Amino acid sequence: MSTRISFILNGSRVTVDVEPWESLLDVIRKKLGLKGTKLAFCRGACGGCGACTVIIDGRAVYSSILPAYKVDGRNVITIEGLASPEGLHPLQEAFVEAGAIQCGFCTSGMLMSAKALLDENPDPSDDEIKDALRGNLCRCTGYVKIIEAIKLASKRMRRPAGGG
Amino acid sequence: MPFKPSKLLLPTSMDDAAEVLSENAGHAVIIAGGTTIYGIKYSGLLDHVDTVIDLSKLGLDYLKEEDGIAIGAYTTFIDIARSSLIRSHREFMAIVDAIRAVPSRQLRNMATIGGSVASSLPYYDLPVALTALDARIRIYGRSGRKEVPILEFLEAPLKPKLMDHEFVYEIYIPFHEGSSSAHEKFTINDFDYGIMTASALLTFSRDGRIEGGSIAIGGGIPNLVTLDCVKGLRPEEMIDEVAELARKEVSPIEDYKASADYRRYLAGVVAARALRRAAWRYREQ
Ligand code: FES
Ligand code: FES
Repeated sequence: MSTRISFILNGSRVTVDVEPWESLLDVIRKKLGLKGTKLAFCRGACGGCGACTVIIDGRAVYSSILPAYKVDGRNVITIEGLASPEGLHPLQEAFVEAGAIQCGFCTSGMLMSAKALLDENPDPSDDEIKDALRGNLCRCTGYVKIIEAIKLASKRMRRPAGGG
Repeated sequence: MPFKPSKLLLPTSMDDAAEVLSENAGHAVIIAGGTTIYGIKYSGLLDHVDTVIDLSKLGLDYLKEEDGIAIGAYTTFIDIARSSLIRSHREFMAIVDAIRAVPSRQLRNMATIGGSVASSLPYYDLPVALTALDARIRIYGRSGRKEVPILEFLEAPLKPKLMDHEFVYEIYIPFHEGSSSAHEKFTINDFDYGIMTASALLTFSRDGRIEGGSIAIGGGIPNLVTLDCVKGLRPEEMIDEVAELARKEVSPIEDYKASADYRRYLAGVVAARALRRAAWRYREQ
């Protein structure tokens, strides 16, 4: 018995039929064709690696363990919603510049957690950044450069464009 | 057959919910945040389930004050940890500690207090804090409302004390005047459940002696254990005694993470730490 749901995905309304057991991750990747959100280390069972992180109504969640029907009527942002036609999001630029990406598998999830953090708290302390990333695993970078990248983006986003 | 429910039900009233629960008894599961269900979906424990019942249309997402605090079953961890109703009371800080002990922001955004309690898993942190705080579980069913002390409700792992037609709609936590609380979790890595955990609630007299209180212990044990605090002592005079008592009272499990002996030893460590931190919080905050 599938349910028809309708929600805002990266700014546009989508309508899709989902089964009760289908995760939001499966629906986004397989039915809506957006492959930037990843299924990684935890195989979507326990939840914890964070590669599947998306933002729902301003909050970072694991799409791999979220039943898709629950996003009916809500606002979902995936990694594809981060850049604009003008270019990359400051967080994406900072990740590239700081060397916060190696294999890249965790990156989309890291970016979504970072975006949820900065949207809520534009000037986070190191501890606040670490807390926001506790639910995201990276097997390559060792996290230091990811934290640096988020600090860099936070600094740039707080300063008006063109300002010193 | 692996967990692949074909039916989803979203009742819109409490009576409706009790009705669909009894109609689907034996092959349905209630879903709140979904984090426990997805966590155990490959375990085989849910293979008999073909119906998911979601109570999110019942408006159970709230915190309110009523001679204590009543929290709707579908309130997320993050909303509880941020609530000024909780944070303005030192005696409720074990709840905030227990939520911070959940390793990921994403899980705190998804998981609910009702789901945490109704999963009845001794290694979950929040139920341990709620046990020390003497919470009561409010249940709705075909015969109306009832209230059960949390320790009685957490009957066995994954088996809370609920009839087929019943569900948890609210958790009530009484005020504890002149008290403070804290929760401690011991893990081998930030991602794991607690190997052993403890929450302490301490009530003080004016001269800084303990009037009463309790310590709840969870983690790798089949059922939560509570210890009473000794009246008339100062916290520092009680620490060794509490640690020893904790070690005597628990019957830990043994697995690849820790032997039963090590867990028994840790029960004393976390109990003492929770007690010390609750006492520190009373003095400093
Ligand atoms: S794939 Fe969702 S948390 Fe790992
Ligand atoms: S860059 Fe490879 S997992 Fe993070």
